[in-house]
Amino acid sequence: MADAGRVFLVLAFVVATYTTLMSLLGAVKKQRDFHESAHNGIIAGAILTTLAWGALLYAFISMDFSLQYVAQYSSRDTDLVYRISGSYAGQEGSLLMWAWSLAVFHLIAQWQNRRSNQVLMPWVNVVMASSLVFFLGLLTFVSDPFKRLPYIPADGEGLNPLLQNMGMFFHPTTLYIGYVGFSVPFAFAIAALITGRLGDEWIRSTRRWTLFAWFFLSLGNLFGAQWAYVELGWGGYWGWDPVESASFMPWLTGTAYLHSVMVQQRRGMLKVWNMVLIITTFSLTIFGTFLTRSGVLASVHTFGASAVGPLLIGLLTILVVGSLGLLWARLPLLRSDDELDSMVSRESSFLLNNLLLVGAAFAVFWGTVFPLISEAVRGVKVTVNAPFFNQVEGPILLALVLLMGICPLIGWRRASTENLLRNFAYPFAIAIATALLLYFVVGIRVVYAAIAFGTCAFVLSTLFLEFYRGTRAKRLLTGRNYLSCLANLIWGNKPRYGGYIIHIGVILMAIGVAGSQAYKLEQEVTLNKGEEVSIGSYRLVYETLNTFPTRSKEVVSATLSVYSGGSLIGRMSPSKEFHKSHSTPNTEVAIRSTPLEDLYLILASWDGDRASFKFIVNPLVMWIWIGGWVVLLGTAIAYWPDAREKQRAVARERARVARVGAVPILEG
Amino acid sequence: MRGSALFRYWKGRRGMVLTLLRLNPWRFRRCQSVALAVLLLAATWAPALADDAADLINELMCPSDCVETLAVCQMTESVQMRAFVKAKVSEGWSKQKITDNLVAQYGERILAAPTKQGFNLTAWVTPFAAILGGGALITLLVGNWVRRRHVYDRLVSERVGATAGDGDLEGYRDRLRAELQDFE
Repeated sequence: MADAGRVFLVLAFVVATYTTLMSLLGAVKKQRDFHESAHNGIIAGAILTTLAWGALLYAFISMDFSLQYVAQYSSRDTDLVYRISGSYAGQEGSLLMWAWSLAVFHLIAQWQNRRSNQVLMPWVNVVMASSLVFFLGLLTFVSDPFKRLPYIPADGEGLNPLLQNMGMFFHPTTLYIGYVGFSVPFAFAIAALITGRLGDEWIRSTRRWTLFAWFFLSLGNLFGAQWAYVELGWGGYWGWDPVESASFMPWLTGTAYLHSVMVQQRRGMLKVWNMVLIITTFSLTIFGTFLTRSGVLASVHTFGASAVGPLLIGLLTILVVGSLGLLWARLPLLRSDDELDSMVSRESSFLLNNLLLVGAAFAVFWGTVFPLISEAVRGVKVTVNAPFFNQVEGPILLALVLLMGICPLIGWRRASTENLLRNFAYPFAIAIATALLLYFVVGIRVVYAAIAFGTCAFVLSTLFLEFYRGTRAKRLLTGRNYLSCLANLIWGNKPRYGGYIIHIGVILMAIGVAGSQAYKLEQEVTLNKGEEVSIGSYRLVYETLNTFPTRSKEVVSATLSVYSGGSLIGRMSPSKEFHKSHSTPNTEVAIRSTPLEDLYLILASWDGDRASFKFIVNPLVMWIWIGGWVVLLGTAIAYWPDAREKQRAVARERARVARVGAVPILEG
Repeated sequence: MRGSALFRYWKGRRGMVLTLLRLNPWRFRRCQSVALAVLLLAATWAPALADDAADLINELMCPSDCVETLAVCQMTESVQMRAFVKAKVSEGWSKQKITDNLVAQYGERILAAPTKQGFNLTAWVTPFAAILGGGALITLLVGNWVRRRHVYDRLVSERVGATAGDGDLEGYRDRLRAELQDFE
């Protein structure tokens, strides 16, 4: 089966190369035969890549240790679910997953546009097929997942215990779907530049792909944060590791792109900027995978240095230089169809939103590469970690949160003074009242936290006002109950209200982050059996320390009784696991989650009956995950097909195009 | 007269906002940008509030190559360095003295963030400078667009007069823009 996998891989590479050539010939010569041949090549490429991926999965499931890759990331005592996730734990498997996703997305994009975008699609096929050629080429010539060992070991090395968590199932897969998903809007953008079809036709065709990619990138980042929180045993969820930052940057620019395309669709403006954003977003996905595979920056996520790194830099260079060169050549065709009416308008607030999002992405990029810059300029190695990013990104993201409350209440084209005051008066008052209440009554004395919570209250108020006004207007018109009117309001304009729900989710996450960053309690103690310690509102009594073996590891587990308000509320057992296949023990934390706070227990070390612990109380962390689910809901609503919105968008585009050809203005 | 009218507005409940918005939207927007910039810059130099040992543990890296802060890393080297930091704090060493001692042993890489002096200051300043520069550029561009819009409106109004409807005006404006772009 492994040999068959290698054959499928090589064939997929050949077919992808053929597809690229046929697509190019079809695009240049505009002959149907070449198009048809390219279409068949896309189908064959997707099938062959799927078969190659299937062969690798089979090798892992059947524990074929004759393959070097399988022997590195699996073993006889690895559970089936982790043998499957181990297939993409390493360099080779993750590259194959990338190539497979790309082939499948290309097939879907081709099928979706089988009767539309006939001018753009040949060039879309060229871009996507050539991208697939690159990744299949890496797999065929540089990083072969089907490479055989000269001998067959009795057992594999096993999967790193840190990766033996359900997060391994969801985090890399969703992240890769997000990364690869952006290749579709990027390909359409390049096709639009090449063909000169620079209206918003290409944006309309890729809006849902962009939302799809953004959604999975959001999920990937969230799953990663949750995995870090429950598995890594340090009480946090985001460590600003270079690879974490690399997945955050395209999310930021992708978010900016999602907002600014609305301005192009409504007003025919920001065409150049939207091109720059999609090129930047796609380039950052390649940059992210470069960081993971090059070893150029130290990270807990990297696969280590390899020959893949320089090749990815080459791809990135061609991509950036080629795209920007093409953009430069097409600048005259990208003139705006309109101007801004006023400095105070939704359009200008979107510009400010973009400034902050791209600024935040730049700040992350700058911090990530600064160690390299410092070494190049001064010859001194420096580290840029959490303290830098917290101080730099924190204020920028807070300003962005504030803008999330302002933008929806400013009208398109121009906002009147009366309108602004009417819309902002109550939310502003609620924000000030919340901040003062938290500071003086609740006793939240960290100024940052009070400002952050006040800002969140402001945004939630503005969003609530939007829903309330719309629902009340519908109720006055129809006489139905509020719930029915609310549902009708949301379903009647899914992109808009789905977007607002996403904003609510982001605010909930911001509340969780602000609370857990500002009010975390930590305590490191050493206890004898029967001794107790207090942290926050909890009293913890160390009861026992047990050691027991399982099939693949030995577990040392401490049991503590947890009291709150004098009553026993439960028992928690943090532990350390010693896996047979790995020398470093794995920390398994014990977490008790409530909406108000998480109690987080870590077993650090022990000596006989004495044990050292780290206890953490993390306020409001649950709201980060709840907010994530709300973002998921909002995205699903925004993504749902909305025939009326599509008709409105088409009508707006036609009206704008028609106006340019109106009666002559300068007569006589 | 104008001055006294301004003063009455100033004294009013919404006077300041109304004054700024109605009389000078540009100044309001610039004030907004300056306030935002001050907020952003001030926030980076606001002091942390936790105790010294906890501060240092969050601000120092594990001395091995694990690329995690002392607060996160569970390796033996981190455990030992945390104990060292706590011991020195309890002996009365200042944060700066402990930091200088560790930098002398391990180099600047032991710090979890670059210092705020010399070349390292560029790490801190560049992102905000980029945002402020971008903000200035956007303000210029937007101002240009709005001014051009007003010019088109004025030309169209002078030519076409008050009898044209909004849709016609929009059409004439677009046509003027297209012809001027062709001319350029």
